[in-house]
Amino acid sequence: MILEKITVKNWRVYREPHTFRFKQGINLLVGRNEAGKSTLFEALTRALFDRHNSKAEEIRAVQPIASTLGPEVGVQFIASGIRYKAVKRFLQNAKSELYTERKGGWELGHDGDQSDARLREILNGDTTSRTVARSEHRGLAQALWYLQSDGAIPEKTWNEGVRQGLQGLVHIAARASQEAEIVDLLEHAFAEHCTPTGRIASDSELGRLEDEIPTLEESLSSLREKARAVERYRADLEESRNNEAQKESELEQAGKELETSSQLVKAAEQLEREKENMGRTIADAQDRAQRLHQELVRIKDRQKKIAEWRTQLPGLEQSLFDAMADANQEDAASERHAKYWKDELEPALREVEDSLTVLETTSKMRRLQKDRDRLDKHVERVADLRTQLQSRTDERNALLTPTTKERNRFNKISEELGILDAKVVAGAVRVAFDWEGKARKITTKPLAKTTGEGEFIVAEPTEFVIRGLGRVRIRSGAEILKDLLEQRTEYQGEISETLAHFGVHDSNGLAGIYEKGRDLDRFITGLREKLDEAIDEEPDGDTDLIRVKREIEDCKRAADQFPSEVTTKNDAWIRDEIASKEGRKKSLIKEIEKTQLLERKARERQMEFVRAHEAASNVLSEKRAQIQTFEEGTAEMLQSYGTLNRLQSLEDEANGQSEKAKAAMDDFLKDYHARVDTPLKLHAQTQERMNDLQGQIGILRENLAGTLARIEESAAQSNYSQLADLEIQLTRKAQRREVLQLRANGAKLLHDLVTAYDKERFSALSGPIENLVNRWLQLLTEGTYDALRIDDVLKPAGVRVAGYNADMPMTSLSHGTHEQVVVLLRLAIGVLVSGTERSLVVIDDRLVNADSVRMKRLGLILKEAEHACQLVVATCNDTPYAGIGAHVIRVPSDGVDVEASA
Amino acid sequence: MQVKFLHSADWQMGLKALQAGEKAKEIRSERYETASMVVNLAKREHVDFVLLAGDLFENHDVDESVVRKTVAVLNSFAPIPVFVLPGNHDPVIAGSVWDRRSWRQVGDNVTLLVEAVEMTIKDGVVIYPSPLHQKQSTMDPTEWIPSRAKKDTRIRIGVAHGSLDLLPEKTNFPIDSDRASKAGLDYLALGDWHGFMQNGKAVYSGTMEQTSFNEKDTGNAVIICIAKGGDDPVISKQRVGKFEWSEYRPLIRDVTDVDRLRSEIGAHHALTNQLIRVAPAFSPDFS
Repeated sequence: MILEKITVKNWRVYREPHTFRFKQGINLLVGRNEAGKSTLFEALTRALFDRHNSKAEEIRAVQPIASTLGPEVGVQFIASGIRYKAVKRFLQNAKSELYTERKGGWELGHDGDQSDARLREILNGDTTSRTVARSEHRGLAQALWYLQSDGAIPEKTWNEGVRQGLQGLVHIAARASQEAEIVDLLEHAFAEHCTPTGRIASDSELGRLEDEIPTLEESLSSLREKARAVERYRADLEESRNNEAQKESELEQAGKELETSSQLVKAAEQLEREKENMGRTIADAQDRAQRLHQELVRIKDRQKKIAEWRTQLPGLEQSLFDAMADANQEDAASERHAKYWKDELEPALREVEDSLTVLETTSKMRRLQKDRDRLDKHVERVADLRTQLQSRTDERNALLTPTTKERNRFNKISEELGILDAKVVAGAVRVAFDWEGKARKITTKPLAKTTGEGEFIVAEPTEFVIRGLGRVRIRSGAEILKDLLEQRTEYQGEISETLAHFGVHDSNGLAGIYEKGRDLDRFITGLREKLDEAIDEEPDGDTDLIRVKREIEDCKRAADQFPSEVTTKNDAWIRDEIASKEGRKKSLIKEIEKTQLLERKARERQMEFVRAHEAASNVLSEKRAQIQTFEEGTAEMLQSYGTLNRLQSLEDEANGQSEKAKAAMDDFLKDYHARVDTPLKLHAQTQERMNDLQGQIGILRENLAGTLARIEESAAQSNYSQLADLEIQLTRKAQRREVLQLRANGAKLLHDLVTAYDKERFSALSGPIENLVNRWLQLLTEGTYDALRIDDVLKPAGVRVAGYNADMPMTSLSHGTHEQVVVLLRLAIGVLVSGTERSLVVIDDRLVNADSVRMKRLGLILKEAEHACQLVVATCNDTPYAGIGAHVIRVPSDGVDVEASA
Repeated sequence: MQVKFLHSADWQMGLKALQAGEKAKEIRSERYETASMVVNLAKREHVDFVLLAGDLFENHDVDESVVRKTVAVLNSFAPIPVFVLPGNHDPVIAGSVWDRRSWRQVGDNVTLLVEAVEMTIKDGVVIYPSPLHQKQSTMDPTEWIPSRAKKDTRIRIGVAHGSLDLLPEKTNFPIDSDRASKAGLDYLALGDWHGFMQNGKAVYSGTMEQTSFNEKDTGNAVIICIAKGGDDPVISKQRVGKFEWSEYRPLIRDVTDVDRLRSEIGAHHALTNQLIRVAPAFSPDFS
């Protein structure tokens, strides 16, 4: 594609129509920052790739501020040898028109959506409908145009347009649609079985079978092991049965032996019985001798015991007698003590207590009498005080007196009245008459006061009657005193009312009755206090008096029986007598207690002696009974033998018999072993062997039963049918696995083939690009980096550092170098895809970070590229590009080479 | 002194039926039904007794339920006496299927032939059982059967399990093909060969229900009538089996071969009771 002309109008800074013309070689678009260089590229891409009726935010942003006119762009270009003119207006009155040059004139080929679609078709752009086109939708331009809004390289891969452009370059035919379908099928088959790395996928049917089969095999082998175990049980069983048969035959043999030995055993048993009889004879004789000996010893022991006990009897009898005597003695002593305190001490005590009662009652009555006198007086005084209080209170209640408040009010008003009067006098008209020395009787009506100087004080309309002369009336002049006068009249009224109420004539009278009331109040208060004091002295005076009277009566009744001499004695005597009798009483009580203690102790001792007597008596009785029992028993024991000597001789005889029997036994035992022990032992051994064999057979049978039970148990688990089912299942799965394995192998083989083919194709594509870029890279960096690494989707992956012969990732390059490498890659693609027609390569201000040396070398590279491509390079500074012979296009502000179009 | 009895063999209860694949379970359970058919036949024919000539069970390890159900079938023959001969699949050994508790539930009409001794079945009828005590042997189990004595007019019947020496590649428990005539037997009831086969008076009844694809003339029981000692037996083969097993190994060159195979299978069989295995070979130029 070759760009010839762009016209913009109402487009951001370009409010007015502006046209920019481009040449085939290097075009340098020069302008200050924000002059509108990138805006121009934006207009170019929107004209070629965006839908004219889009209302996207990005399109709206294009409209100049405050403008309502639709942004408009026209682009003239050559593609595949045909010259086109595309005109688009967005937003208001949106339109899209595509003109084709025919015979020197423009012919409208398409308009509207068709025009948009056709443009994208011409430029291999993305045909899917969308609001705004991004770099990846611009066909080959994605690789060739490096605009400010674009990333350095696409994130994933170049778009289809770029890929097709590149394929065209190396003349490898694009995949036919059928080929793509087959490859898809192959990949699908591959993915069905394998992971992307070619291993069997675990979630594929084959993968699942690979998992399942070993599990099945394991289950099967476990079941087979069980079956083998059953086989082993059978082998054990066989062996056990053979053993059993062997043992049975041994048992039979032993049975026969036992039968033979049984005859010998019978004879031996007869001899054994004889031996037993002899043994019994010996034992009997020994028993008898022993028994007689024991009897003899026992009788002798008893006789010895009886003799011993008899010597103890006199001592026991004496202690019995002593105890009785002691008890009697203590009994007499205790009786004596009892008699003393009962007959002597207690009567004396009663007498003293009687005397004390007489004395104390007398003393008490006298004390009560005194209390009564005191209480009588007290009651009388209280009654008197109450009477007084009542009479004074009545008096006070009858007397009408002003309260302190009322008195104070009266005094205050009186005082105010005085002040009012003074004010009235001061404010009143003063009238004086001078009759030139003559005296005239003058009366006033109402009465007017006069001053010392003979002036009348006229406070109100007053009529003067001057005797002999006539009347003078003064009617006014007192208006100003009206309020004062009214107030005075009011006060005067109140004073008169108060005085009348209390029945007095003046303030002195009022003060008099006030004071009198106060005096009475004080007096009453004093009386009350006295009464309270008196009551406090004897709070229960009345009840006390009643009680005292009653007690006096009680005492009087008792005193009637007293000897008269006591009542006549004085108080001191009575007091002394009471003290003396109390002392006597105390000593008597002490004496009684002492005597009672002595009595009690004597009684205790007596009881002890009585108990001792009882105990001694018991011992004696017991002893006597024992002696009697023993004597009787001994006699009885001897009865069957006659005498003790006879018993002795019997014992000797029994001992002799025992010795004789033992000698006979020794004789008998001489060939006993051979005749009895040996056959018995043999018999027992045989018997034992049989028992042992039977035991062994029993164990074998138990084992047999156990083994059989295990076999039964195994059968009960249905292992056999499970085994069969598993074998069937495993066979089927193994067959299926085989089929799938074959399919997977085939799919993998084909997949590998496709991969190898793709790799081959990629090398064919990337080779020429790498060659060109590598040469330029060496030139640019003076050989620091000598190669660009391109990945399988033709994206730069890194550069080779020549000095180290090692690769470095793109991300490690400086920003400037990175930009330059990307520009080189795009230039190389541009150069290589240019066939019969130049390709348009756009570089929007991407080389600003290049130093002057590199800039110079970049200039050489651009010159080289110019032969194959049309280059449009935007920059704010054209100095570094001097000398490369670029066609300079200045943006409007620079005012050169831009023509305004109508 | 006429006698009429039923001869069957190789029931192989508890059979794994591996060849039947997913149908194995069905095949296994169906054998009880077929066994019942044998019972019905015996009753219908009013036979005097039944001889089962070996391999009643597939293996000593068969499931407990297999023994239980088989015992139930045998008990259902009552009152007809049944004589069961242990074969090479179920020989008399320690811990064998015959030692099972469930086997002991057999009724009084069932007799397990564990000893090689002459046995009188009824007046004038004796049998000579040749039970096996191991799984494999090159010894003829019928060797012991005594020759007919002079003046012996009893009906003498041999029961044995093994391969008549005229069978191909069968060397386990070989049986002399002249045994019947050598021992003067009126009938030699044999088991082991799964198809019906007669060699003079020696007869294989075959299994009552087929067990694999490579067997022929299976699914029968045999009813035998013998008028008196020395007479030829009257043998009648009766169908009791349910399934037919067939295998196809066609060469497939194109779709027409497939259609042909389909119509061939459809024409020859009603597809119930059929077990069909198709193992096609594909031509290299198959399309």
